[in-house]
Amino acid sequence: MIMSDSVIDVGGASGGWRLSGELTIQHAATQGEQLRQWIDAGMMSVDLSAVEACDSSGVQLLVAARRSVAARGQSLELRDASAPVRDVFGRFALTGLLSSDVVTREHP
Amino acid sequence: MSQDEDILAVAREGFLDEARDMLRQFEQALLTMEQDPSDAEAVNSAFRAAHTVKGTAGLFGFDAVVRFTHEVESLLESMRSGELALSDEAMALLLQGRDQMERLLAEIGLDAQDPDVAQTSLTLGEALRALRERGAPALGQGLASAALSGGADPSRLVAESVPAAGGVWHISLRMGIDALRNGLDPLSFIRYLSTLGEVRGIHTVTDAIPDLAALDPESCFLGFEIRLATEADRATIEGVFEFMLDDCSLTVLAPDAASADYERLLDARAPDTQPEAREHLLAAWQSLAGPGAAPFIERREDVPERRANEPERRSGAKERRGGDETRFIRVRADKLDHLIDLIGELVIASSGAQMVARTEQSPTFGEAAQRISDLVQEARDGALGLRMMPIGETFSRFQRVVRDVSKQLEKDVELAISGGDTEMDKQMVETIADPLMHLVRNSLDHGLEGPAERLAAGKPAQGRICLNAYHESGSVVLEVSDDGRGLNRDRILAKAMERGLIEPDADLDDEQVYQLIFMPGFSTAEQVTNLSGRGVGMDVVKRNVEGLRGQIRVSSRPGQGATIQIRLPLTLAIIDGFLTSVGGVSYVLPLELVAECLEVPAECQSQPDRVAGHFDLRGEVLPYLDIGRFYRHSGTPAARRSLVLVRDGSTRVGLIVDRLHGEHQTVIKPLGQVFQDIKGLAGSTILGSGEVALILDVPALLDLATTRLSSAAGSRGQAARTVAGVHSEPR
Repeated sequence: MIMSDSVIDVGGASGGWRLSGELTIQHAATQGEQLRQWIDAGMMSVDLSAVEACDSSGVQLLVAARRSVAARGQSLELRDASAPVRDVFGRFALTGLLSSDVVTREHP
Repeated sequence: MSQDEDILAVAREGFLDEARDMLRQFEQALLTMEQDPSDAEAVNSAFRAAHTVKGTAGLFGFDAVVRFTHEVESLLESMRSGELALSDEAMALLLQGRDQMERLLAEIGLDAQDPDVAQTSLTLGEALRALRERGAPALGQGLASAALSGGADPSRLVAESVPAAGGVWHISLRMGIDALRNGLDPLSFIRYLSTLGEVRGIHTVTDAIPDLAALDPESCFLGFEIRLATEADRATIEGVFEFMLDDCSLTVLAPDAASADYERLLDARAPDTQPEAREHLLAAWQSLAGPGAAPFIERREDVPERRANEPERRSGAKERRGGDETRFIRVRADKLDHLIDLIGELVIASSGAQMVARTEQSPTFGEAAQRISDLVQEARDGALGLRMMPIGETFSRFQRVVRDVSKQLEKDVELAISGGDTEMDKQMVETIADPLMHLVRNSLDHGLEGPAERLAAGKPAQGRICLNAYHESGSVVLEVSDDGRGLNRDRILAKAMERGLIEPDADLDDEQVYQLIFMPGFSTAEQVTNLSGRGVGMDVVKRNVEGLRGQIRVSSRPGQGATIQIRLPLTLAIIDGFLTSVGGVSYVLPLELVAECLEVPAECQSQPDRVAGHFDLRGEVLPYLDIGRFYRHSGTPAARRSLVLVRDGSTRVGLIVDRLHGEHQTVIKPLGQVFQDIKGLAGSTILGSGEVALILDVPALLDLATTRLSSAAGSRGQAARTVAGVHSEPR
């Protein structure tokens, strides 16, 4: 799964980094580890279209992931969020963190 | 190491105990919901119960329980927040869910794993989830899309400046680090908030979340600033967060809160030392309140007078708990049993001391011994009281049985419960639950008719089963009654003869006929159903009841219903006894059953060889039994004997003994195997002198006396072994 920066396709056409399964407390440790590896490998955009469920721990993970990427002066795009992810981010009024087709905003 | 394991085992036991309580509460709540779908408290209660099970199971790492319970909880969560209405399907799934939780918990108790159970978890879990997803008309989607189209600042929901009826409350929430680990997801609380009113704005505080390298993904670093427009009062709003108060810091500010209150909140959330966080929070508040809102913090020295008519209060942890939890402690049952054993020994020792005092003829010693004896008696009552619990909890379990079985049988049945607060020994409550269950099922299956048959008989279509409990002269009486077709005397007789249980020419009264249903291998069900009729059960019921030194009786009125009455002694351990003796043997009668003591009436004295007969008590004819002859004591009876009149329910019998010794605290010890066949003995006890006394089983003696005297005596051949030379006479 390790790819070099040059291969990353922001549009997601070539697959890229895609989280799947549940972004929930039960799987938080594994998903966190996964994200950590990907970020170390230079991930700048993650595909959330295959995430089946999401809870507060999932939100935390993604915010933390953005923070990690931001620390090296870049920004992590949360792309193609599935309905469950979109729902939770909506509840928390954090929808701005998800990239719509147009803009990606940095949360204060 | 092994000590740790012990502690863990005890904690696990405690968890299982609590989980069972929670399941009961869960089931009770579901049944209430079914009766009244608008009962919000019932939904809450079910949710809380599921939540508690999940939370504690999580602490112990019982993942199977956590995973499955999570699905149940989520479904309830959707109901609680009004996204999903209660349907028959949902109810059926939730009840199945409850049973599955029970199975999973049982696996923990047994330390075994059954692949079938795991499979059920999967399929049922999926069904629960499917129902939830199908039923939820995406209330959340609305919010999400509102946020998307929010315009200027899509990262926040901005309130429109429409005045709300009850005003807009400010809720500031910071999650504790272990909240997620404890199964508390702020998401569900925020979802639930939207049932109270309109969430005008929400700002998620993510400042505390570290970067991924430093993040423990299971810790919680989230905080929320929420504007809620609602007519609800403070208690209701705070109530939403009630059971996560241990795991969060919550401040709720009323719509008319003064800026000083906000200042205090700001200080608490972001102290002066963190100017950046302070600015962030202030900006968040300002944008939550909307562009036209007055500034939250007015920079001025004189703090304005407080206008709030609702006092502000930081709800600290645990404040709202307490209540029931603090009034109870859990004690291991074996510790309690040991205490009761000790008190039993103390009772014996104290009566020994009293005896010594009497023989020493020392009045001061006697007085001291008496004082000790009184205190021991109080201690005894207290200790036995610790084991007592109300039967109501057991009764209410039958709601579910009645619901399920009546659905299955397509009968409409109401279960009425009375006397649920009647207390009895814990062990007895546990032992009697299964027999009671069987009786209830039996009533449902055989006693109550289907709706059509009921209507035809001029009865309401809905059948009725009553469970009742009460105390009566030292006994606990439990009754299961129905308004069904009653017992069919002729059919029972025919069946009993067919099975060879009675002689064809036996002459039995109604009560005796009804007792036949408790004989092994007896079943009158024309159709053997999978519920109660396989001819096993009723005899086991009777055996269980007798094992508790109780009796079971049946009364029935054809076409109007039947009542089965179980009579049990109050306790299994220590009783107040009445000490008597015949020859050199001491006999103890339960004091509560003793009605009065008389001189032996003339009609008994005139026939000194008779074991049993009748005597005249102030114009009433009552049976008597000569204990000396009954147990075949040798030697000549004492010159001046006494008759003790004992009662059991409404029947009374006189027992003739040689001497009366008065009250005696009696520790009941079981009789050895050798004595099991002797009729009329309930156990033995040890007297202060160290001698053994026999405890008489009054109800059994009563039966024996009446059986002996009825004209059918001997036809059933019971107990004749121990009694020689019975004179029978018609009643």
